[in-house]
Amino acid sequence: MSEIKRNWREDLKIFRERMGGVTQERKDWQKEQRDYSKAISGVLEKGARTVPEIAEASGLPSDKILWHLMAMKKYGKIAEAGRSGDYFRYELKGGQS
Amino acid sequence: MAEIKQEYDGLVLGAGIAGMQAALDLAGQGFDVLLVERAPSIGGVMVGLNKVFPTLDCSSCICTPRMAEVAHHERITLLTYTELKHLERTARGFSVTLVKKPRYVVEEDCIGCAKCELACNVVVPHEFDYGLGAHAAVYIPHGNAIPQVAVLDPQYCMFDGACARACPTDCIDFTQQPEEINVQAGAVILATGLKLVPLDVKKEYGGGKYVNVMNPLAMERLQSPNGPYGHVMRPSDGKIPRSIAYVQCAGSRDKSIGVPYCSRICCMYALKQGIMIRQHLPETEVTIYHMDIRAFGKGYEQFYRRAVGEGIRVVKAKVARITEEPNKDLKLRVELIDEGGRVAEIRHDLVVLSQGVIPGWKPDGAAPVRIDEDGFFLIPEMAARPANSSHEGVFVAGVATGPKDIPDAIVEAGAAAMEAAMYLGRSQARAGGVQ
Amino acid sequence: MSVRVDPSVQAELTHYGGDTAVKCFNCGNCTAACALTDQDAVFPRRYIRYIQLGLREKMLGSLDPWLCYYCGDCSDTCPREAQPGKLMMAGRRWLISMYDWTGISRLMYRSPRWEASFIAIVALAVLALFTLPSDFGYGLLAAHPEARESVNLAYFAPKDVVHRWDNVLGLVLGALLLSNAGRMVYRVSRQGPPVPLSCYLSELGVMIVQGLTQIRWRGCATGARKHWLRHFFLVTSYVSMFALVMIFLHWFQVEDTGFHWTAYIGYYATAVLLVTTGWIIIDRLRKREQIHKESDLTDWAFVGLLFLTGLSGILLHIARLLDMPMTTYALYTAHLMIDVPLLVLQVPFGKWSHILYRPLALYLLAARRRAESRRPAGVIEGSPLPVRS
Repeated sequence: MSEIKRNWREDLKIFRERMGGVTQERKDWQKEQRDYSKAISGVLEKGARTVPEIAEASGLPSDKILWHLMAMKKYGKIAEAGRSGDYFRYELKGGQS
Repeated sequence: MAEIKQEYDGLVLGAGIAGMQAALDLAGQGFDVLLVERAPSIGGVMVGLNKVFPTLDCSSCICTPRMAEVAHHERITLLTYTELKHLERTARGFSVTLVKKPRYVVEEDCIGCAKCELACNVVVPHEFDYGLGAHAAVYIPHGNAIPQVAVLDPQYCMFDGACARACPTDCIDFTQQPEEINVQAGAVILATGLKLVPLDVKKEYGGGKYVNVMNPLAMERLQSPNGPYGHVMRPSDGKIPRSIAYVQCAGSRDKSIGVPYCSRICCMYALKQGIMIRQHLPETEVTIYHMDIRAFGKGYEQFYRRAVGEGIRVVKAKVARITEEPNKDLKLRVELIDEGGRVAEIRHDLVVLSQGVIPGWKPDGAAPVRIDEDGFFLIPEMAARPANSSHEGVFVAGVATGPKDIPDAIVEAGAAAMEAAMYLGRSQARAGGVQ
Repeated sequence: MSVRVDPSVQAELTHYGGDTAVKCFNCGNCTAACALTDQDAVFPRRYIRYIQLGLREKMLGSLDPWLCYYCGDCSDTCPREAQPGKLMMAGRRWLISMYDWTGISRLMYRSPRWEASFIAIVALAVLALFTLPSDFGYGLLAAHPEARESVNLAYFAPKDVVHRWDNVLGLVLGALLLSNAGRMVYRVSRQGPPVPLSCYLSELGVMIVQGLTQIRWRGCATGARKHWLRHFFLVTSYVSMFALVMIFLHWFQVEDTGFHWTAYIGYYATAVLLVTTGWIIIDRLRKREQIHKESDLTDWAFVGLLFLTGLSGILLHIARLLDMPMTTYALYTAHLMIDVPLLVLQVPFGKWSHILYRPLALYLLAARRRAESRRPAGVIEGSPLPVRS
């Protein structure tokens, strides 16, 4: 391990400058992520749902719902909960429904 | 990151299956090898595949031991996330300039714990999953990655420092810059691999526009146990597809897009993916639309027969056009030649375009080798010395010289390593003679 | 059934501008790429296969080339660059020359020299008609010096005489074209099961509608609207001109410097003729669209002579109004030296014969389909792929 103790807070400021700061693009991307997470969680609070069901309840496009849902599943916020026809159902992790 | 020496016997560019094999075969003969990979992890295309044809062995189970061997070999030095800037002949061999891209993570300090990844608040489309899955803005490339070291994607970073705060070894380094590395190498092996023609190269197929028209490598990821969904589902709405179409020659054997050659692997991977789909989803229909099935290798024709026996529909018809229905189903317009030449529009849940294979890298002056008219490296003596490039001391292996399957790429890698070893032996003898 | 391969057909097609059949590997992309193909109208691949195998009988009895309007989608996406659209065009030329029993068409398509000679022969014949007889043209003019001072066509080309020749020409050309078309009907009827007469009778409407409008062209995917509309206006132009010359010549050919309202129809026809043919010439020179990329001498002769017909016609009109007698007579001669070869060579033997072949092909197809719809279903068809819905 290298011996230099990094002062990451100072480095981060410079890094942020160098990378052009928190641009609108970055903000928009994060906003989309928040909106979708919130919408998905909101629907799933009422119980396990399929992707088309979440899309219909939230009014958001199903392909993006699926993408964000899979991201939430990967990082442990969502779990699979059986199947309904040709679709899997998903629930919030922790069993709340 | 291991110590970089000034001089190596061999430089291998590209750490896919061919490059790894070439590096191992050269190092196994006692030569010091520098293995350079452009991606954050070694393993190339193969480590992302589900199965290999025709044995249906697990692809990563064959690939990962090789990756580990490469990483632990005392004569192989590994440089990942590094690109070739320039390569030129000198009196003693080759002078090589490499550029190591910033990971913003100190490689030797990172322990691969992924705490940064879990702390990060941003998710980003995952290149390894062809955009179908996600990773955090700082992430371990994938479960089988070597090295198991995080990399930060500054394009999506929100600069909140969550990763640095979470890191137990204080290895996030925001000060990193691209770093130039200069070494000398006695011989060079180019194993720069493949990419697929762009998904939208044939406009009439709607690739890139219709979400359920996908890349065959993305389908490999969907079928892999560590894939983005964990199941085969279609990207538009997560439906388990009940009818999947493979469009063969979607970007090869096609002069209209400048790829007149056969990509050689598509027939076999389409059959293989079809078999795998029907093993997991027996009720799902798989239809392969083809011009002719080219099952050229050992056991391949039997594999084709097996696929047909397992209910995969193999239809002689070149798909001319794909249109999307409002529910994101896809309609394929074809002439059913074996049915007296009937024009039909056939609906499917999901379409895989068997996209043509093109070179993964072009030297563009960075290396003194010539390119053949098909875009792959020129082999002046194809029949006699298939691993020799147009430049003395530079050898080539794998798909970089033309489309081929994994066994052929491995064989060619061995040949390139052997040619390089003989070349090194000759030049060392010459150098000894002068002294 | 055994098939005898005849490689000479491919070689023969090259004389008609179709030299790419050898490249085709029969993938069927062209058929499926075409917006006009459906269940039983499957071209171009099927016809290209006939060419490759040299199945003359099948080719002669095929309607396929006439169903194509050369939008070029097939050629743009052909993986072999075999140019199926161009092969359909060559197929049409080949069929025209095969259906023509005189052999003139064959000579014209296969040899630019022959084509130029035929044009020259007919033009010279027209010139002779104006110069040799004493009771017509310059011979007649010589006896009437006053007509050299002021325009009077009655002493150069009297309309009764002209009208009579018009009718003779019309009858001869019509008979030639009809006899050729009869050969087409015979060839086509020999392919496939017989079609009852009642089916022919009930589909007559197709012949009329397609003959007048070629409306099916609008179904093409690329460039259809522009090309169809331009063609439609061109048709209205020469149809109205045809009516003026063949039926209403008595009013249309004003013999002195006077003006008659039929000139307005003439203005419309001339303006449309010059604009559309001029536009087509520019497009054919630019070669941007597939339809304009392959022009041989017959195409150039057709569109060029059409343009010159319009140009000489309007110049003739102007010279007459300006009372320039000798110029008027010279232009009258030139006008017919252009127009008569155009009609004589292109209507029965050349490109213009599509005026009958195209609607006839669609008509025969419609009759055949009607006959098939009366047969019990599922007898010929293979089992179709199930389409999930």
